[in-house]
Amino acid sequence: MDNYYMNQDKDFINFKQRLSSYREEPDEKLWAGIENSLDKRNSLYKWLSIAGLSLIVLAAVAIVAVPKQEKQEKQSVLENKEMGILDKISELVLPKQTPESDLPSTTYKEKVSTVEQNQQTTFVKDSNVFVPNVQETENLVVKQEEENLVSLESTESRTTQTPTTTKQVGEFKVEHKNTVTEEVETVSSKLFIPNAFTPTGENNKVFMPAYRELKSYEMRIFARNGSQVFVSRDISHGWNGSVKGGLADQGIYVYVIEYTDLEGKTHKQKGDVMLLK
Amino acid sequence: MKYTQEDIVEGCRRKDREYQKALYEEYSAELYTLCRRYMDNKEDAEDIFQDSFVKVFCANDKFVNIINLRAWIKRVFLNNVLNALKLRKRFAAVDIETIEDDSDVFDVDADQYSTRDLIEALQSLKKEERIVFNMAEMEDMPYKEIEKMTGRKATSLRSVNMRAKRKMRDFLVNKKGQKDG
Repeated sequence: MDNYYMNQDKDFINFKQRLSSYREEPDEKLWAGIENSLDKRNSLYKWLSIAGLSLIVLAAVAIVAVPKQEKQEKQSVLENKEMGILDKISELVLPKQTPESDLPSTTYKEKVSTVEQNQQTTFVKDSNVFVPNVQETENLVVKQEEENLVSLESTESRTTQTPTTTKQVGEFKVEHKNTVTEEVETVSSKLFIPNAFTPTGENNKVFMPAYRELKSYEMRIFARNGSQVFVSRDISHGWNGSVKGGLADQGIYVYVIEYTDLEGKTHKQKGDVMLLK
Repeated sequence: MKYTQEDIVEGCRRKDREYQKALYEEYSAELYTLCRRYMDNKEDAEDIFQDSFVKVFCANDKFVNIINLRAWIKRVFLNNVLNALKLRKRFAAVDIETIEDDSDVFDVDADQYSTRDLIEALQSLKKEERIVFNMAEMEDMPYKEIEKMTGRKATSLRSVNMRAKRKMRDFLVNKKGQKDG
């Protein structure tokens, strides 16, 4: 039996070998066909590569264009950062606000002017080193002033409080000086504005800033929803809390006061006031 | 052979037409025969033959470190052919009878036949039978691999191969009878 199967295998192996050693020559035209499609492919690749190149160029243009915008954004972010650092420095150098800031502006002015005199000596000494910086920070503080007047009001009081602290830290002297100059300007021109009034009460019935001689004046008051509730072009004409005949609700109202002082400088003061019933 | 295998590989990587032609001349007969074994007719075989060669020549990035160029190019052709045959779809549709009697009965002496007769015997098979026979016997692919490609169980494929062998044996025996008679 084994022999029988062996023969079987032998026969089949022979058959397989005969089959696999058989060769059939392809038609000669087939090579021409292969060459032809290779050439076609090459030209197709050429077109594809041209299309690809133009795509790459487009992408490159897009890549170059986008970072420009980003850079601009980054710059603005940097500016913000600088401002933030400035804030911090001023906080570090200057002690916190005290109730003294409620003093009427006249007496206030006197105080500040004395501070200014005290500071004068250091101001002159250090100014040579930091002149360009002072310029820059000044600008930034002015920007800050526009954005948030309430905080600037507080710096006002800070400097008057402790003019001596700044002298101790050499690096921060310039900062301080800068705020001092700012001080002189704001205090002399800034209006004193109360932060609350009661239209229904006995006193303090009308909201208006402390009187000052001015060239021009305009006060606008807005409700929290943004609607304008009051306008006045006379500093002695304040808001009694009335809105379209009725009395406004209790709450916080925002005021924007724009005025020109006797020297011809225009100022803008923003803040909020509490209406109490 | 005018060029060494390394020359041809390097030349084909550069897409040099001269070396491509050399490669073609070296292997075209063997590869064309392979295509003919799987395909029903000459036209289909020629189509897949040309298509496979174009694929080989376009794979210039693969013409690196080819140790056995003949084995590699044969594999490319076989894969291309098997893909074209859509094995899974084809074999999902056929009924396969399992053959209980698995004894091998191929007892014809091939030497008594012309090559033409042997080819005719192969051509007499059903397409699925021929594919399995070619894969299992001519390409010596393991049944596990054929199982993966066709989606049919190895035992079924063995049966198909067995039936193919018997059919060819019968074909050749008949042929002999005709000649003798």
